[in-house]
Amino acid sequence: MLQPHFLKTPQGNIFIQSFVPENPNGDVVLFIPPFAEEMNKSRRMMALLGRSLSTKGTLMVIPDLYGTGDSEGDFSDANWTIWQNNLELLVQKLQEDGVKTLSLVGLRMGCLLINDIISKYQIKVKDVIFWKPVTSGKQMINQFLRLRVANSMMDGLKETTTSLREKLASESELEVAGYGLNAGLVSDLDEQVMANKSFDDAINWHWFEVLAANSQSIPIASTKLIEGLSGRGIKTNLQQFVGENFWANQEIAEVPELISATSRILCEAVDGR
Amino acid sequence: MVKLEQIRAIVIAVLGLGEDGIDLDENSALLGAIPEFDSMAVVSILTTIEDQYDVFVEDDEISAETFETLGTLHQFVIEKLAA
Repeated sequence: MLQPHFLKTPQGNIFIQSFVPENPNGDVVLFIPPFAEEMNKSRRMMALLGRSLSTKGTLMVIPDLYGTGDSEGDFSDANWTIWQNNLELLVQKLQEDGVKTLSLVGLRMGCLLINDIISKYQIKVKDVIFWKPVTSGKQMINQFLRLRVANSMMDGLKETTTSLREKLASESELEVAGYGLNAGLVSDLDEQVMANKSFDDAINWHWFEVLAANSQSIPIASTKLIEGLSGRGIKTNLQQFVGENFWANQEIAEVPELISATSRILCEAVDGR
Repeated sequence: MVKLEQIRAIVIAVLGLGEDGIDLDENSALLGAIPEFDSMAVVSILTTIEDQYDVFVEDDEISAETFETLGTLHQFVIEKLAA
């Protein structure tokens, strides 16, 4: 059963969707959403996972981070620290309500927040599942700025990500695809590099890539990163799924195998280990 | 060498064309001809190409002409990888 509610934070109320099981087994999954428009595109997939988990007794919660979705605040006032704090408060609240095991699932940018909150707040976590993780915040921002570049290209103008970054630096805010992007958030995101994050070897790490077609291969940046982690003694369970880029595509899309594989891991972990 | 089929697969997947996209050939017009081909699609296609082929596309390398047909997009990727 879907229970929408708000969580009080110092910056304002943030919107939480809880997929509450009829017979809760105590396992809790926190889903960390992706950036900007990608979150709206992914609502269906997030809800499908929430429903799948709740039928198996696992509670899943999805926050709309400060300044996004139905939460209070403006996107142009959001920053990385506020988002980390949102997640810390939410984990505290979940722990007060009672948690047997806590697992985290991140989609795209959401994955970059996961390692931060685990190490910053010393949260005990069982499984972490990355869905098509963003490995470089800077690259993600450049790709986001390209939305505006592509629009300007179609209008015969010639903006570039470099010219937009200069504009952002001088005006401290820039509108891209209807989002007021602030210079602080951009500089926070520019610093986010997956390879530099800490990975706790007590956690089971799962890395799920979504490929648009069978003929495609896993992005080289991801393969390199996983090899690097292996060198640090961190094992990752890498899996690939063929399906639409549901977080980006114009039409709302589903990748059912991603849901079932995720659900299997999160619900097996209880009796399996 | 990157095949036209690989670029077609990316376009079909990004635009969600499904079976309607199978007939796309090198002369098929994209930008301005396919309604789904908007700025988000341009960005998604570039992102997928960067991910797949481990290249970085600079803004000044692309223009509306790059996305004129499937063939021009294919040619762009070939030249990008040769560079």
